[in-house]
Amino acid sequence: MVNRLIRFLAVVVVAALAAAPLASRISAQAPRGDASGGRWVGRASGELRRVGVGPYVLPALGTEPGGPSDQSGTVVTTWTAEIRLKESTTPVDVKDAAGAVVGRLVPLVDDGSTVTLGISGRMTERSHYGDIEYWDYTGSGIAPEARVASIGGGAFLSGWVYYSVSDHDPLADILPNGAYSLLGTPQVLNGFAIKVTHVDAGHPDQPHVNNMRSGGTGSWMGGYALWSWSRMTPAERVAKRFGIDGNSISVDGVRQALTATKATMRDVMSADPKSYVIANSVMDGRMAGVPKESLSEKTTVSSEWHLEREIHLSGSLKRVDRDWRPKKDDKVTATAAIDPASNLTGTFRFTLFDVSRERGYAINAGWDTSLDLEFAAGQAGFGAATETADGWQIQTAGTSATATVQILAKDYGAYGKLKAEVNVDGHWYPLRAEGGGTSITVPLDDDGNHIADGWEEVWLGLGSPATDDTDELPATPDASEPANRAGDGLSNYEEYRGFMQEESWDFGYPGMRDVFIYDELGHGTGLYSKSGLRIHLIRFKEYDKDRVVNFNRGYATAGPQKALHIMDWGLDPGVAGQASVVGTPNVVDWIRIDTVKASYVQGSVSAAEVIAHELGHGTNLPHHGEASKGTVCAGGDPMITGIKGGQYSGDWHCIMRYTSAIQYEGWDGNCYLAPAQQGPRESFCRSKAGTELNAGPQRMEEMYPYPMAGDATVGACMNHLTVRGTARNGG
Amino acid sequence: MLKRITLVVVLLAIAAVAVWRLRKPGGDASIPSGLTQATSPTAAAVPPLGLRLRVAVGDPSASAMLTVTLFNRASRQAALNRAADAGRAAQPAPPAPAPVRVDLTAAEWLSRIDIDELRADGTKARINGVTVRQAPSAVALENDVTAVVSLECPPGSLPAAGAKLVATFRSDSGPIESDPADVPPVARPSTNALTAALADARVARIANDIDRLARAAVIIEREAPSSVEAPYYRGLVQEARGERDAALASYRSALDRMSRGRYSEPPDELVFLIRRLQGGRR
Repeated sequence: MVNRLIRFLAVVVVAALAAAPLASRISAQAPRGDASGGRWVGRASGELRRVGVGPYVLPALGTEPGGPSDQSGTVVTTWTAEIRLKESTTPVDVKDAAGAVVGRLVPLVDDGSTVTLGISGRMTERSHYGDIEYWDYTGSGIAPEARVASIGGGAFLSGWVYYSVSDHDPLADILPNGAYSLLGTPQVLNGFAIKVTHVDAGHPDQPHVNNMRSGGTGSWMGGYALWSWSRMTPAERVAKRFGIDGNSISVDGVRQALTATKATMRDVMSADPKSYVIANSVMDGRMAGVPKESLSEKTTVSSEWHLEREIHLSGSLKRVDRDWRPKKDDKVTATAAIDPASNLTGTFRFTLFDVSRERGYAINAGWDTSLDLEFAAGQAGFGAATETADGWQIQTAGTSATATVQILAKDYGAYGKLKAEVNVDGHWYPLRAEGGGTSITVPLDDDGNHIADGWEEVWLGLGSPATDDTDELPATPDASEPANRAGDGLSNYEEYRGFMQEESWDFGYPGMRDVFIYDELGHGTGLYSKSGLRIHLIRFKEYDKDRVVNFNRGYATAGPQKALHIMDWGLDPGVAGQASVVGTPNVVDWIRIDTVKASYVQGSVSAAEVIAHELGHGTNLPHHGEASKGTVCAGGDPMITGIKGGQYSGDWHCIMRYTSAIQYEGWDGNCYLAPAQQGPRESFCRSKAGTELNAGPQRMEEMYPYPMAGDATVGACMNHLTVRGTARNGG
Repeated sequence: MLKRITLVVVLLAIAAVAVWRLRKPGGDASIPSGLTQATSPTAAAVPPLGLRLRVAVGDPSASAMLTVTLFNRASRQAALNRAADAGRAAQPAPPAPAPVRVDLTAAEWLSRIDIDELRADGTKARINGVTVRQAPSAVALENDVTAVVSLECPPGSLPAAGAKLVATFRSDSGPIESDPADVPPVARPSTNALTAALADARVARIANDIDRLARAAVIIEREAPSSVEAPYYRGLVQEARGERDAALASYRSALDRMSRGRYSEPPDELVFLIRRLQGGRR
């Protein structure tokens, strides 16, 4: 019985299918030409089911001694395979009568497939004499371990595939492009451990156990035209049969071999032939049938498989230039290439994805929310790009081994990712990205903060968070001042993305506090640059109606940041400038300059000082002190009277100090005429200490008491300088 | 007399700036058109000048003033950058952009400047009858140096209050357009004489029209005799007419009338005017 089983399992069921002419659609889905070198990877599974249904006769083997017996029960052998097949790099050319190559037969060679098998079931046999015996089958194994253990090696699977290279292939009627054959090899499964327990019903307490190895467990796969149980291709078969050189085969030779083989197949398999052709770079199919050898039809075999082509394709997508950072309407190139050693060409497809959609093209310019990166239009060798949900896709018009694509930035802060694929056989293969993975960043951005690394290294230092806003310059003299003096309301990313200033783009210098000013007058900012702030003059359209300069903020924003607005205004008699309040740009609604008066102001008080003074209020700089209404100097407004610690105190040259005193209150309590020259004001003070006529001990000089107004009550203006947030009155 | 505008740009300096901008990460080169632009071919050539327009109206039966300010925005911004970077920039300061020299007669200024109403649909309507009241004949625009051109607009030629005007200066390197400026509301002397006179006094000062200022000052004196404005404007007229002592007295009167705490900033101009007439302590 066991011998019968093993011999039966050793039968390799083959499927030979007549080649029905297939449409050119299929041809288009399979590669043409030299696509050898690929791999086919996937899974296959199947079973051999043996069912006892009565007297068992195996004519091929003759009647067992003792006469026919009845069998009942079911024994099932299953297998599951992880398939790895490699296309031979030495295909066999198929040539027509004129010697032209019309196609290539590419052998498929096992490249490390593994198969797991199992057997289970009971077969009950009633002998001619009425004896009852049970055969219990259990066992499992994994090839190639079993194979190695038993027969010392050998491939589990083999086959071939036909790639037509001609649009008028004379074999198209019988061997269409992409036709393939897969064949399991029985020997590889030899050694599969089986435990067979034989119990004689008359002696149930005396089971007989056989630990044995299978002799070929019905390894079986389907295929287009299975030539034999060997692994020969049609060419090899023909070569063997007709003595033709195996490196090439004639069209007629193939036709003869196929015809002969089909006849053989029909002898072996009761099922009708069916063709198997690669579709969409996939070998996918199933078969079921009854081996003719069994005759009793107690045994059925079935299998199914799904293999996808995995070309051994080495290629890469190179990173973009590290020094490139996006600028509106500027381009960068990316190159993808198949490893020359692969000797392959294909169609390249580039995909931009995860592309930013920051509004506008800078923090204060533009309004559109379209994708910030796209493929440059009209690139030679490429078709038209198509937009996807998060990017663009573009494809080369022809095949090549390398392709370079131009990417166009539409935003100064654009970012996204790019991947490249290549199609060599109807299937898209992702290319390895330089630096790992399957995509590169555009611009190059290893730390993933959407700031180009080349720029980041120079201006920020690699690894800087995109959201940080820690600009400290100009430095606050007193380290004990609130830490919130740092920053300018723009995050690192926003500074990197940049802004338009009078229609020219620039970026914010990290580390330095930037302040934006819309100067409606056109007269500039006077001496305000003495603050050390990085001042950016903008146009009306470069901030919004709420004075927010980063109105296009989005990714990694630090929140809205406003600009200062200098406007022309008719102020009260004699008053040349005024700020709405003292505070940061986010709370100071306006800076009013009366150009009529400012143009008159000369000498000790220049227009440049007036403008700088008011802008100082716009960045949270208060006066050096406040006027006292209790001054003993009668007859004048305290606004024009210097008193100790008041507006006229402190650093003599500080822009925030008043310089238009008519009189001052001396330390002796009397009023004195103030000096005509009370400036010039030319800097923002860093301490409260009075200087020049405000400095020193009490003294008399030329009949005048000094210091005039002494140290400032507030002063130390640079300690108060604040751009971001909503601080007021120097706080 | 020169009959054409000459925007003399020092080519070597421009080239140096362009080279600098190219080496600076993120730099943006903007030079006048007509010159070779040594930068990204995608970068647009933008004239380096900026323009502003201000509108002042007073008595509706009199002319209005349009003040056009031309400046070198590139030079100005570069100066600000240099000031901020001084002593701390990682890279050496770029060379200063070249000044832009403008030599124009009044007629040439007028031929180069258009004043238009910017309508809601984006179209423009020319403001006619504009004349030059005051204009510089030659100026080298750089840093904070400006060319301020005072244009006079005949009564009734301006659109209604709230309309937007734009000025366009046609430079050799392309037209330069100002930001929109609103036409301010007009006070009718028949309904609000003081407000109208104050507005007219401001227009008169912009126009440097002493007679018009004097007429406004009379109305202000009549309508608000105890105000700060009355002696203030009276003093301005007196000083312009050479009445030094009277002017000084008027200014002092204005200063005396200024109420304590009314102002957030000192009357710098008034103090300056007084000092100028009386002389300082030393």
